[in-house]
Amino acid sequence: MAQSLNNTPTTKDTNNKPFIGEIKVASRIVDYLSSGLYHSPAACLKELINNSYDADATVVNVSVKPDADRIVIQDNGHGMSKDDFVTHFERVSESHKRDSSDITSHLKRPKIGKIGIGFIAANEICEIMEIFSTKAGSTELLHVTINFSEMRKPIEERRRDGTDFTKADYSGEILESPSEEHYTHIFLEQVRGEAQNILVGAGSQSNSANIKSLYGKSAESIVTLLKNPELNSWKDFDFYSETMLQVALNIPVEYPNSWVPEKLQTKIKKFEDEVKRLNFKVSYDGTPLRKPIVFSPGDKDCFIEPFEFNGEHVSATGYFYAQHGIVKPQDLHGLLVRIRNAAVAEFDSTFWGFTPSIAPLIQRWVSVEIWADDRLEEAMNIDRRTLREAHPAFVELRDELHNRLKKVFDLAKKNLYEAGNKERRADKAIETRKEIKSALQTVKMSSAAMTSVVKMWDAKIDKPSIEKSLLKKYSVAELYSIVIEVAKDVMSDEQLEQFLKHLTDRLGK
Amino acid sequence: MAQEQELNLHPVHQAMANQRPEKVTIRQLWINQAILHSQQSAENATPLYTTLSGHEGHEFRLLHEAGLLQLTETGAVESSCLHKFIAIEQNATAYASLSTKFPGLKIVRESIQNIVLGHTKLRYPVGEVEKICRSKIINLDLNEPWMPRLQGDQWIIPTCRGIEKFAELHASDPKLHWTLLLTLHGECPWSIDAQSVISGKINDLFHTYPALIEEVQDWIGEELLTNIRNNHVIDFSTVPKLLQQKLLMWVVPMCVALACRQQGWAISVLENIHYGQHPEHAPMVSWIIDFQIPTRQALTFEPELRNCLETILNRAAHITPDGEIHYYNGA
Repeated sequence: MAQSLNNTPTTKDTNNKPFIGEIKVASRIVDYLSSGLYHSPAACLKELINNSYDADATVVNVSVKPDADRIVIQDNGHGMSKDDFVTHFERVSESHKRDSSDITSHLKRPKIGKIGIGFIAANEICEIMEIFSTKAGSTELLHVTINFSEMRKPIEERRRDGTDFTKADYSGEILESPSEEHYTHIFLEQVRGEAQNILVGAGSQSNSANIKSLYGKSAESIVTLLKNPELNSWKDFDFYSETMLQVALNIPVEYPNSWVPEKLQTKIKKFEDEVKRLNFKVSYDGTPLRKPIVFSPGDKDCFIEPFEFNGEHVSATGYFYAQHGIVKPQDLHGLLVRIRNAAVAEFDSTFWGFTPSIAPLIQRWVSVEIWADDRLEEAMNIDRRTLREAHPAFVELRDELHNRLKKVFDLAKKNLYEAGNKERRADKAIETRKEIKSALQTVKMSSAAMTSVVKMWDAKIDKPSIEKSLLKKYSVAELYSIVIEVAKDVMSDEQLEQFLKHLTDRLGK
Repeated sequence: MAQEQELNLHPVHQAMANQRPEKVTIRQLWINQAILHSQQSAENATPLYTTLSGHEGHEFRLLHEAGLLQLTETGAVESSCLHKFIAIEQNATAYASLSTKFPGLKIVRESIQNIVLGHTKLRYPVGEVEKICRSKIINLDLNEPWMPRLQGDQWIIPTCRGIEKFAELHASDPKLHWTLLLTLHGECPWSIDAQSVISGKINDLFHTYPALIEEVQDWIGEELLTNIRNNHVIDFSTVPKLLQQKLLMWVVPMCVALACRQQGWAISVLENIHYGQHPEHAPMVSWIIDFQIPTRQALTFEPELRNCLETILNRAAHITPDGEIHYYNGA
């Protein structure tokens, strides 16, 4: 045999040394990554805004209108130097964001970014991203241009003739800036067609002929529009506004004033105070963004149940809001989870797969917002929209939430649905009494007799037994039985015979 | 301004934001033109005002105060005005500042030269940029002198070529009445060759219109005019700034009128102003030049050109450091 199992494999490398190496990832991977991660322009914008939040910015201005051919995101955060840029951007996903601390240096905010891929969100929207950034105490103004369209080209096209060098993915220069300034300005240039249409608000998914836009509206005006009972969904607005609302839902901005009925305000104060403490203000074409969560039950009843959970694998806090009737707009149905103050996707109308045994209708009466601790972050997938359902933190929180949901649904059934029923029964009893009076008016009887009959129902209207009697339903057989029993006492046999004949004809019609 | 919009502002910019009275007066003249145009035509599809406004955007504030630029309750540009008022701003910091001050404002992030696609007369903007270039008012508030330059083997005045291209774009069908607001440095830092170019233009013009000589001589003085006409080398650093401003007040509109003569405009210089007499301020010159569609059909453009040249100095004026306008003819 030419081969033996005992032979030591030989290599061409006479040194026969172990070797190590680095798997270099082509920058084109950015394109593959981003297209899988960011499903909408809003998802891309919120990534960049959350980057500003992580840079301790207190003010962010986003400029989209009039054409969304260029989007500008300006913040007053701590800024970036050339070294910072190279450290953070040269190797995608090797984030240094939480190297030294997982809270921001100045404002002590829990950092949202984890693996440093937020910037590639821009790849989904535009061809070129320009960054202007400067740090306090430095006179250097970093200017970098990242050319996504270049990065997307096949490697063969990017290689220069006869060399191993490729065209640069980014180019930079250092300009001058006053040393006291600190900011980052991001210009997203050559915004892609589809994203541009959505961002500028060309149309809406709604069939409504009267598409509304939130462009140029104040936070107060937006609350008024969101409280409109005729608003079924954010899709009733144009794409521009829907994007604005989606961004606002995700990022750590404040709640609007009067977002819950006055009687419930004490129950949500701690959540309001928590986001206020973050001191993060974002304006979108001049409109101050607030969380687009507004509960407006009108004259219907509602309640809030607080939620606190300290489990083995995860802790969370939050609230369950329930009202009599469907919560509008429907974008607020379900469960919204926040980790480090940023939302994980939107409201999930299935409440993480909750299948209630009681009144599925009530499911649309409830809106839940939960802040989970960092342990749930470990269950979060790279898309920041989904969670690994087998992760212990997810399992534990889901089970607890479903337990609490059952209780909240029971409470809603009892306090809102059944209480509503009681009200409706009382109304019906009053209506029935009116009908009796009206029927009696057609009979020739003395006023004394009339008063006596009416008084009987009037006097006891609030008594449950009388209400029950008023609303009781009888079968034809029961009716015959009652009528005959009473008629026998007050009619002759002949009158009874005539009466029953007419009654039968009437009922048989 | 909402708290959300307060970002760091460069201290130099803040200093620049202090409005000088002369500039305030000039701006008010600009806004008056915008009011006139909006009164003349309710047509809304054409941009009303395109400008190199700088990062402060003072004109947009004034246009708002004049009731022309409508803003929403948040200070954003009203939907109906979104493409009516346009800023051209290449500088990223100034762009960012403007977009924060006036959310929704259309800002073109280009140099004015790139907007008109350079100095060549073979390339003109199309599409959206062409529409912007056909604005009823073009305000070129430039931070540069009127300077002839050698382009290839040909001498051109880049600013004049840009104006010529704007005029050409407005002249295309349908021809559109427009107004140029032009501001330049009030100095003549011309090389010997550049002086020759100016001298050549003046001599050619005087050859055709000798009647102009006396008026120009009265305006800038015999000595300077003679030196220019004889193509003597002039050391402009020794020429008083006022005289340089006055020279420009005649030369610049003359060059514009000549450059655009084939396009069939009735050009009139509505304002012809110099300011910046204060020793610490840069001397400046500023014009409002109207490009009307001629009411009468003529076989040649010569009558319109002559009329323009003869009236260049009719509205010559200077603005005092406290912002008052004084017209030389006492008007």
